[in-house]
This record gives sequence, C-alpha cells and structure tokens, in this order.
Amino acid sequence: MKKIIAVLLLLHSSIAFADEVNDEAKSAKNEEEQVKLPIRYFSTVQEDELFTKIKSSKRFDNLSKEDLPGAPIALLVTLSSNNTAGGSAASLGSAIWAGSTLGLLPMVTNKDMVVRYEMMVNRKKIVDISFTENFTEAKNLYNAHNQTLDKDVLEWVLSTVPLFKKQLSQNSEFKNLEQEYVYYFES
Amino acid sequence: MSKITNLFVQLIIVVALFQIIGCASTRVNPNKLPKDIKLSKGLEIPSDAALSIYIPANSLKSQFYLKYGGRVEPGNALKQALEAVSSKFFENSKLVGINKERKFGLLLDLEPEWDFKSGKTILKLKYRLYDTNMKLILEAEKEHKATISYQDPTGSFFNAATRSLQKMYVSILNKLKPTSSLYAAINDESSIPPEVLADLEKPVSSGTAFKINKDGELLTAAHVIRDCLVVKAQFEENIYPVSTKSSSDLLDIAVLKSDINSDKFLMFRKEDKLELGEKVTTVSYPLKGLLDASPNLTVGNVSSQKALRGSLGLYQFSAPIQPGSSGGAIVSENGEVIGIVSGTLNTKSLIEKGVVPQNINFALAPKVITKFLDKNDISYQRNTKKNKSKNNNTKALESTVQLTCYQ
Repeated sequence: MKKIIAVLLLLHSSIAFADEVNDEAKSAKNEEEQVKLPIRYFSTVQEDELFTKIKSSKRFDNLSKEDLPGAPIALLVTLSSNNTAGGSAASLGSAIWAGSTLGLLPMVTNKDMVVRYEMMVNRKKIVDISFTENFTEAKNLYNAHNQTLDKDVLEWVLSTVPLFKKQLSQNSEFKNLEQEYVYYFES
Repeated sequence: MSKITNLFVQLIIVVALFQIIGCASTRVNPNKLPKDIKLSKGLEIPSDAALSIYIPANSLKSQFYLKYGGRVEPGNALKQALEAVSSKFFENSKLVGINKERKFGLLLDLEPEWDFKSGKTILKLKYRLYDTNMKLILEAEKEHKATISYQDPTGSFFNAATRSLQKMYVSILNKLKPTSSLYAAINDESSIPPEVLADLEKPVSSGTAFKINKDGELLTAAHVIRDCLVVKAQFEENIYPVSTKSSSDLLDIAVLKSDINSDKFLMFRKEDKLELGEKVTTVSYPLKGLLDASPNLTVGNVSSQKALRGSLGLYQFSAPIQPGSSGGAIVSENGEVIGIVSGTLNTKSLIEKGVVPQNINFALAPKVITKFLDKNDISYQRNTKKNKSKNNNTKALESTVQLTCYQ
C-alpha cells in the first residue's frame, strides 16, 4: 500500500513538474512573441522601482521616460488618493491633536489609494486599468510634507504591475494596436 | 483651573467643527439618497425600462492639472457617478454607442455644464428624455453645489455629479413611473438620428480633408473626427454629411464617405519617395470662427525625412500651419499628394525652456498612407505625368474641404 501511495505521489509530482515546464515554456514563448512598441512613460510616482518593474518584460523593452518624445503611444501611471468618510474626519481631528501637542502625537490618515494605468494612442485612450487599496498611515507632524511614498504603499503599487500586464495582454484594443504596429512598421 | 477647562472645551469644539468640514469634503455614497431627495411613495427602484444615455464625449474626458493639486478629472468623476447612480434607478441602463444594436425604451440626452463659486463646484445638468420613437417626453435642468476639497479636488465633481443625477432620476421616476411595458424597447440605437443629440449650434472642433477619388471619399487626420457625433464637410458653397469608412489612431489617418459630386481629386506620386528640400504646398481651413471660410494656401519645403524621436511614419515640413490645418494635403510641385498634415511641435513647452522653434511641422509620409489605403481597399490614383504648373494649386484648392465636428 505504501509503495502504491509513493508511486502515486511520484506520478503526481512529475505531472505537476511537467505542467510547470509547459507553463515556463509557454511564458518564454509568449515573451519571445511580444511586440516591442515604442512607448513614452509618464508617472506621478517618482520612485524608479515602478518604471524598472514595468520595463522588465519584453513588451515594455522600448518604454522610455525621455528618449521617445514623438512616440504616438504613451503609458500614464498615476497614484492618487480618495478621501474616505471616516478617514477624512479622523485625519483632521488627529491633525488638530497633533498640532495641539506640538507634534508629540502623530497624524493618522486613512485613504483609498488608487493606482491607474492609462495607455493612449495619439491621445486616444485605449486602456484604463486601475487598482484600489485602503491605507492607514501615522505620520509625524514635522515630516508630513515628505513626498516620498510610504514603504507599504510602494510595495502595493509594485504588486499591481503584474496584474496590469496580465490585463493588458488580454485587452483586445491593445492586441489590435500591436498587430497594426507590426503591419505598418515591422513588415 | 476653569481657564484650562475652557481651553479644553474650545479645543473640542474646534476639532468637532473640523470633523464636520472633513465630512463635507468626502465623497458621497451614490447608493444613498439624501433627505431632501424623495421618491414617491410606492415607487420601486430600479425600473426595468431599457434606458440609453447620451453624453457628449468631451464631457466625459475633461480634465485639468492644478499646480499643487495634481490631476483633476471632472469627466471621470461624471462617468463614475453616472455608472453608480444610473444602475440604482434603471437596472438596464447603458451609454449610447457601445452597442448600436441595443434596443431602448427611453433615451436620456445629457448636457452637463460646470461652474465654480465661493469654494463650491456647481453642476448644471440639462437633460432631455425621449421615448423609443424619439418623441420628446421630458426636458428640465437640475443643479447641485459641492464643497471643493483640496485633498481630493476630483471628489467635489463626483459629489456634484452624484447629487445632480440623483435629483434628475428621482424627478424622472416620480413624473413618469417608467416600466418596460409603459416604455417598451422597440427601436435600436442605430435608429437614433445623431442630429437630434448633437449640438449643431456649437461645433466642438474643425479640420481639413481632401478628395482622393471620384467616389467622393475624403482623406483626413483621425484626430480631426475623433469623438464627433456628427461631422459635416463644406465643399464650395454646400454642406455635406460625412461618415467614417476606415481609420487608424496609430497612424492618425481616416477615410470618410461623402456624397460630394465632383471630378476633381488629388492623385498620389508614382513612387512613395520624398526629396529632402523639395517644395511643398498645404491647403487647409485653419482657425474656424476667426478667419473667413476660405482655404489657406501656404508654401514651404520638406525640411527633414524624419520627425521627433520615436514618431512613426512622420516627416518634417516647413509650410506654416494653424489649428484647423490638420488633415490637409501636403502637395508636391507636381500637384501630387505627398502627405497629410498631422501636427506641429509643442512650442509652448519649449518656450518655457527658453527655446523658440520655428516652422517645425509634421506630416504623415506617403508610404504609410498608401499602405493604409491598400489595406482598406480604398481606391486612389497615382500621377504618371510631370506637370509643374500654377494649375496644381487650383487643383489642390478644388479638392480640399473643411470639416466641422459636433457632439
């Protein structure tokens, strides 16, 4: 009986391994087939990690911040915050408390952060993908003007990149754009 | 001790006031009706009547940038509010244009107008409601003011839009009590005459196009006709309705169908080649509303075979162009089409950097144009004769039309 179970386990693990190999081969093949569109990059997220992570796949190999001023295709990534009903009141309240204690108490904020990926072709928007997450932050009054992103927020922003790429690869307008680019400029 | 207590009480009051202000600037819940907006007793929502909504594309795209407030998107706020509020009142509601085969029982034509006063964002929402046979059944206006929040400036647009829409829907439901049986969805969206929805008194933009064959087909830049509900072409003294036959946003090119009956059209060069420095002429109708409706003819030369880094299929020419010149033909000395006016260098941003560029304009190259025409089976002719003459300008003038876009 033990032998049967061991054989089954071995068989299962080998099948799983075969699947993984297939997946890897598929993704390598997909990566190979991806069209390198020339894309201008704009973002309100100053941290370079985001640009580097987007550019890491072959599809975005030709993504550029400054070198393609004439490219008709543009990717705009914006990070914004929406006030939440409780968060806004709490923020103002905690700001007053922080002020009244001369910064001894931290300011607590609660916001919905929205990261949005928009792709434009000659100013026509063809892709608009956004992700939202709620964040509570405690900031010192004297450090509140600091514009750098909180570590947790940046990590979350970076975690949306693969999701964006997956959704983009399934977008029919984007697929048409790639085909059109190949037809006119690579054939 | 009593002074300290007084100070503490004052502090509590200040905190409470700020909390109230804070609440006023947060986004309202589109699923909840405020106390002053009431549905008639016994009225059940959502209604099952099929509602189609038309809203001018520019209203859904408007955005601007604040120096210290980032991107503000009234258009997106309106779209989000529209999606959230509409589904609450009409379970079967959609924007016109996504699926023209969709049948509708009611058609809502919206005309939003933003205003600002004393720290408030104001939305004046004019609306007209039609039945499936395009009979006007209701026309009114609703307004709402929302406090501007400097933490979330788009939020005040969302709040004003949400409340205005709620007022509008409640008013419609209270007056008509619409159901799918009362307002049956008989006709589909393709039966809606665009002229009824478009504001034909206020053109949104204008541009230029030119004839490329005897069938009345016109060539222009795609951005000239983008998001237009109605496009009209003025040729000689007549106005013709036109429709899009094929277009490419990547190339910024479009072919339009028209009933223009004229033998005059422009031919392409025998070979899709450009000579650096060769003389070119552009014919266009720029600055509509400022200049009288007469074609402008400017001359220059091919100043570079390439355009900005990263551009696709464009070259540089020096003949002056203005807003409204887009889509006009670039004509060689031989009277052949060798390009379409696409755009110009963004001089404003360069002037801010201390650089004043001159005569740097861009056109789509003939090689890409003819490849596009071949792909879409659009007929055109190539010129095989050499005929440098003054008549070439006349030919270009006689083949050019002015386009006007309405939403």
